Amino acid sequence: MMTEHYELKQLLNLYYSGLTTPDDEKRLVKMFESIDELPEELAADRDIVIALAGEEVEIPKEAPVIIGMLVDKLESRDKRYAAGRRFIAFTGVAASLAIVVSLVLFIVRNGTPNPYEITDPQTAFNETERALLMVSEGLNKTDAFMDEASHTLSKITFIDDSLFEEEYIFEDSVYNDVDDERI
Amino acid sequence: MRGFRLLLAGMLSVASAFVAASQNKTFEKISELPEAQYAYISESMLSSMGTMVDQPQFVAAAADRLKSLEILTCEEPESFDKIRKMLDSCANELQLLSRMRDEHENIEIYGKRNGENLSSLLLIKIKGEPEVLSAIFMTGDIDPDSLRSLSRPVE
Repeated sequence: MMTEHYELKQLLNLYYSGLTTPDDEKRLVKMFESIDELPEELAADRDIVIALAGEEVEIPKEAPVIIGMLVDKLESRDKRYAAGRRFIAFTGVAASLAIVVSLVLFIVRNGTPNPYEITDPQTAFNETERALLMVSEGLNKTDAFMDEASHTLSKITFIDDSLFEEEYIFEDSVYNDVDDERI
Repeated sequence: MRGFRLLLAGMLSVASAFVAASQNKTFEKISELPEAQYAYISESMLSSMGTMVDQPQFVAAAADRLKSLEILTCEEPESFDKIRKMLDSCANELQLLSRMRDEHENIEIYGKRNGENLSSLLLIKIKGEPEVLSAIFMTGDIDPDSLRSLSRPVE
């Protein structure tokens, strides 16, 4: 009994130190299950060892293949995300540059006076009046031209169809009766 | 992603403002010819015409709706064909609205529709005796009926 307890304690020390082999652990579990009088101080250890022993999990044969495929999938997904993040970062930089360049060009162009721009208000007014009246006259003249053309088209009448209601027989018509005697 | 969309929206709005404020490229090219006279009237000048006193208000009312007005004139008949060909690049971007030709003048009007009105209008007029080529390009909110009434006699 004392020897059994001593051996049990030795095994427990090795167990907690992580130095037991699988066979030692099995022997430890068997000893806890078969021992008659277990000291109270070892009751908790028994519960722990038996709970941790548990049943062996059966690992399917194709598990390494499945795990390998999962790892590959995660790796490729990470690569895509990385590429997407790089694209977004590049696009952001390009968009920012485009905005800055547009703003600079806008300011420079508008800041540079147009040499042909009329700056005298009275001259601008006279030219605007002349241009608007020219456009107005152009619109009215083309409208009048179109109206005249429409009026002319409306005067055109088609030949009276009643001419074709009766059959007219001409002397040289192919539909005349064939003169067999002449042929 | 939201930040990127905001950046893109900002870039587009700046670009559109930049484009809207620019001159017509064809007119700009023709203006470099020595035989052509060219004038550009900006939106600010057009919108300020309403404040001018002792001037016909119908002009100010029509001008107030314009964003730009460009006027091209040439009085050398030898250059008419060349300038007319150069104007084709502008006319091809617009729709032919009406055309008239008689012994005295040749008028072509092009425009880009914007609902009931036009967003841009190009008039090309070649007149004989004296021979003058005139081209007018305007942008803005152009109401053709309002323009017609400017020169129509009051009934």
